[in-house]
Parts: sequence; C-alpha cells; structure tokens
Amino acid sequence: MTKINVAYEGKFLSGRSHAVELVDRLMKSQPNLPIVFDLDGVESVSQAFVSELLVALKKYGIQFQEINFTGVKDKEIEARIRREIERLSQLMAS
Amino acid sequence: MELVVKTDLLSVGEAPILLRSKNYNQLLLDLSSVSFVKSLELTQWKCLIELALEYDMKVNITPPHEESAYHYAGRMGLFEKTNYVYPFKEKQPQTFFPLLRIESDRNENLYEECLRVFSMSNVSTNYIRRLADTFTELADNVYFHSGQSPNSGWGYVHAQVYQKNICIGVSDVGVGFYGSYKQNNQIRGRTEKQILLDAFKVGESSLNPFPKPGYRGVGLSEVFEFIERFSGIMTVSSGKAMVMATQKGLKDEGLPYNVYGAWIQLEVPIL
Repeated sequence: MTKINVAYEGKFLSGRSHAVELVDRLMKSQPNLPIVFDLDGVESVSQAFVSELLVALKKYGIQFQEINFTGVKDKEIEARIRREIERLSQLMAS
Repeated sequence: MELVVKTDLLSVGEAPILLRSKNYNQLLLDLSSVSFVKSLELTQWKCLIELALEYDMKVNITPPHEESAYHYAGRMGLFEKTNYVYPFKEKQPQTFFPLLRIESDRNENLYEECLRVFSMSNVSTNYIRRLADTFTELADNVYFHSGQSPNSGWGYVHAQVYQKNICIGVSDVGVGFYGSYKQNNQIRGRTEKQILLDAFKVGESSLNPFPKPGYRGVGLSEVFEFIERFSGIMTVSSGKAMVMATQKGLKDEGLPYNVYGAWIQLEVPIL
C-alpha cells in the first residue's frame, strides 16, 4: 500500500493540471497498490481535480477500486469524491 | 486611429473584434459616466485594456467623474499599464477582493482570497468553501475553453460584497462558448442559445470526444446546483445569447449586442 499525504499539495486542490502532475510524480516512484490519498488537512477538493486524478491513474492502469481516500472531514467533499468515482465507473463501463 | 469604448454593453461587448481588426493603434476607455463599479464591469474593462496592450496599442483612460467609483477602480489597479496615472499611493485595501488574471487552472489563490475577504462579512466557512469551489470552476473554464486552442485562454475575475450579496464577475475576450464548441467540431446543429443551455448539462463539454462519452463536463452543472441550493442568480452572456440560472431553472434570451468572449455574473446572498 502507498499512502500519499495530499495536504503537502495545498489546502485547496482544484486544477486538473495539478492532479495530472501529482499522478505523474507518484508513478515515477512505482507505488504499491492500493494507493491511499490522505486528505487530512485538505479543506476542499474540486470535482475537476478528483476527476482528473482518477482518470490519470486509470491511464497508468490503476483501477478505481485500487484507489482510496481517507481523512476527508467535509461530508460534501466525501460525497463529491464518491459521486465522481460512481460517474466515471459507469462512464467507462458503457 | 483611436477606438473609443464607452461603458454601454454594446460598446464593451463588440470592442474585442474591433481591437483585433488592426484598424486602431490606441484605445480610449471612457469611464466618465460610471457611478458605481461592479465586479463584472471591472473584469470586462481590464480584459479590454489587456487585449489592447497585447496588440501594442496605447491605452488612454477617461476615469469616472464620480469620486468613489474613481478611487475604487484606481485602488483595484484598473489603470495600471495604461497612460492614465492614478495619482494616489494607497492601493487595494485588505478588505477588497483583488482583480485577478486567470491564465491557468491553478487558481488555488481564489480559494484563499474568498476565505480572506468573505470571512470579514460573517459568512460561514462552509459556505465560503462552496462559493470558492464554484468561483474556481468558473475561472478554470476561462483557461480551458476561451483560447484559440484548449487550455490557452485568459481572462479576469473579481468579487465584491454589495447590498447583502456576494457578487462575482468573470470575463474573457476569447472565442466564446459557441467558438469553443466550433473549434472542437462540437456544434452538431445547435444554436448559440442551445449551446449555452447545454453547457449546464452533466457530461456536456466542448472537450469531450463526441460521439464517444468523455469524462469532462460536470463543473457547470455543479455551479447550477450551488445556485439552486443557495438562491443564487447567474447570467452567462456569450455571442448574441444569454442564459440566466436561478432556483427556477435556466432561462435563455437573445442579446441586442454581441459579446466577443464570455461574461459571467454570479450573485449569491451572504449566508
């Protein structure tokens, strides 16, 4: 398992390019699966960031079920992440 | 030759195409009749100034006669880089939201500014976070969609507290909604109005590879959810179309002028 403390990236994560950059950086270190993104200390995460993070990991062959998010204190952000995983799962299955 | 732009919407909306026509070497932005400066207007004027400078034009300003409007514009930095020198040293006070240029999707500073400025107006932290999410989404779209190619646009954003509301303005002088869809071969027989309405649907994005489903196109639908939830009013103007989003839904209208680029104004109550 690889645990990433995302708070080092900032307390608000929004940019698609930021998500891609984070995944590219992560993949250079050949992480062990599953990957856990620890959002403790992160105040908000945009839908675009979550979406791009998941899609970028998928491009590296990492499935959504191999990605976990912990430390999410804001219920709305938790719901946003869950919704995006469901939406992308349906989209990619179709 | 000097292009004179007054503050009426016809003049401001059509100015970008005239500035790009290469028929002018100077811009005169005549703000003399302005009595109150709203966020959207500030962003519109700043975009015109920056566009003129991009074309190596001189930019002259006739500042607002009304004193408070004059100082507000001056302190927000509207006159910077123009031939008009704002003679006062006092710049943007800490209580103001800055006039920010958007040129990437790394707009985390918007979040910081929302927290800093709106927390002074007794706005709840959770509400500020959702507002900041919305604001950032609108700003990111400028970068993604308004340029001649994806991820190359620029524009300006601003926000202010006005009469128990938070007002947000987002402007660009780019290709507009229709232009973005057109350059990505996504028009599919739709009118300007229809494209503005469709942009609010989940999964609708000029950057999705139609007919295959793409993963883009959720942001504006989330913005609409925010408006519905918090009784906001948002108008999006681009080309000769305007869409108003409220709790009652989306309503489209034709405009009697052409907006070269896109203007977005969002008003939400202070909660």
